[in-house]
Amino acid sequence: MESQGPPPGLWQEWFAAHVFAPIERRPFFWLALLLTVVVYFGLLAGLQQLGSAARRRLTVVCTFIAGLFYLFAFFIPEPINLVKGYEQPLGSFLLAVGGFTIGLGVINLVTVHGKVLLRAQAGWHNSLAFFAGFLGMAVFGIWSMYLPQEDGATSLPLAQAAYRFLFEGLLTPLQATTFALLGFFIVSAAYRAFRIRTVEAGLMTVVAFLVMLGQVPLGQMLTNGIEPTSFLAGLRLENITNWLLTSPNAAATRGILFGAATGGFALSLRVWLSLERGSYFGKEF
Amino acid sequence: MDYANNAAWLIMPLMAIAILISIWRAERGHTLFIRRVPGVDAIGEIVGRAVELGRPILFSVGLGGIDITTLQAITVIGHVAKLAAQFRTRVIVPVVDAMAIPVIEEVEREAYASQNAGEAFDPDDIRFLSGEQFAYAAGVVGIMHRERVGANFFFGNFAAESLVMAENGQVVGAAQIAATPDSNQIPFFLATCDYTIIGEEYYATTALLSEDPVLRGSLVGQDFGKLLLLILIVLGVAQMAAWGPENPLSTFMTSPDNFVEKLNAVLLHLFGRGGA
Repeated sequence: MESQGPPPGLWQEWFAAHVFAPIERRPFFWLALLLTVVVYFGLLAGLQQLGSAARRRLTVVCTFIAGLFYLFAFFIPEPINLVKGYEQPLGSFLLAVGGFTIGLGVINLVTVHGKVLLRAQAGWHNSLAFFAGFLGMAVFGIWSMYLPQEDGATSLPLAQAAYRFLFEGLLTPLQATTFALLGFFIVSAAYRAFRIRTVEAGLMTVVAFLVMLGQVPLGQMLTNGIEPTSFLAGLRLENITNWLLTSPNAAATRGILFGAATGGFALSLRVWLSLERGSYFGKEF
Repeated sequence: MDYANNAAWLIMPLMAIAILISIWRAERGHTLFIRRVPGVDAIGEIVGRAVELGRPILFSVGLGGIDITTLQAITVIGHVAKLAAQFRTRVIVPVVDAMAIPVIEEVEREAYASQNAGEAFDPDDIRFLSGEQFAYAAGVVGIMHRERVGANFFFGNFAAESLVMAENGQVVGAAQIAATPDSNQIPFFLATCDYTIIGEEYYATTALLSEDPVLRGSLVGQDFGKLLLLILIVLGVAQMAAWGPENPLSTFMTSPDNFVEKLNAVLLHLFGRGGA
């Protein structure tokens, strides 16, 4: 059902008024901040004290509750759905928590490249390039953020010019270059794929040839003699290509998608009910 | 879709029930037949080739964050790391999402420890490269060339970078297995890798690697789910042919008023207030 207005949420108004309301008075703001930090680190310390089994049990409970939340939010319609209103705020919260993990990434990069550089291992110049790029981007990026924006300025301050050079002059072209390499790799991959060694490979080569021919004007010109309104119109190359793409190809793709969707559903169910196996789930397989 | 329609109400619970019953049957000792997938059977062989060459293994989990697809890949990392640990071979895992680092590190560490090869595990082998697609691809390619990897595993969600990585794997002479549920990347992997695990086979990997009744039962339960979908497709095609797009089955399945809503309307009618 399409919702009319904001979705419902149990005690949402009370939370909005008492818990998530902006704190106007300064001492209370600092007090709330301090309390939040204490509770956060207290929880963290508590979790560290837990044994491996207790931690896994906690994960099982949290996973189940989270799954139940989204199950209710999706399956129960308004007005009896009382959790839908929390779906969007929870998504924002998860996004904010996920943002903190960039710190993990930075620590990992600095550790790996720092070791290579300090030990002068092979390829140390790559690690030096990492630090130069990382520090350059960070310094000039933050510096240019704090510069006043001047309308109609003809010259850029050093920080902005350097940041623009690093971003638009180096990063963007480098990424475009990697993407452009695909053109060459497609040729070498196609060469390997289209070597006719089996009946299936031969069939694929013929079909691929027809599809490619049907996509280009030169190929379409070959069957221009067939009138588009005649009963043989289906034999025009562009129509053959279209049929190959929308019928056998689409059917096969959907078959794969159906299989992948049921597989994903089964795995999600196993994770939600803590039936999944693997060392990360605490049950070896 | 904001809320589940009738199709979701009908299909999802039935599929869940089929999967749970199959798991229950498997746990009670029923023999379940599962066809072999060559790509899964070849995992040991591919690890063996890297070991023979004395080169490390590279395992890419693609562009996904910590989601269902990546969790499946992480479980396979555990298996590959166990095999590699027996021969003190390194498994390098470059990631695009930093959140995956501690999870993969824990799984690899446990895998090496279980084979009494804890000293062979290097935490620096789990590397965050970049959150950007092509920067990640360039980083992976760089590792392949510098470390001269002997085997590549591509398990997860990939996009255009799949071909860049797999073709460079070919260049360094690495044996390669790719596995992805994403139909768009399958042709590229088929053209460049020794083995490709596609679609639902991706989620079946762990069941095929073990004799665990839960995993095998779940796999058989999925087939009942697919049977249900097949029946609905046949019915849908027949109804579409008979009545066109406004046929009863399509109208019922896509109706935004599901039966809980109708139940609530009945409650409102009877007692003057809904289920809230």
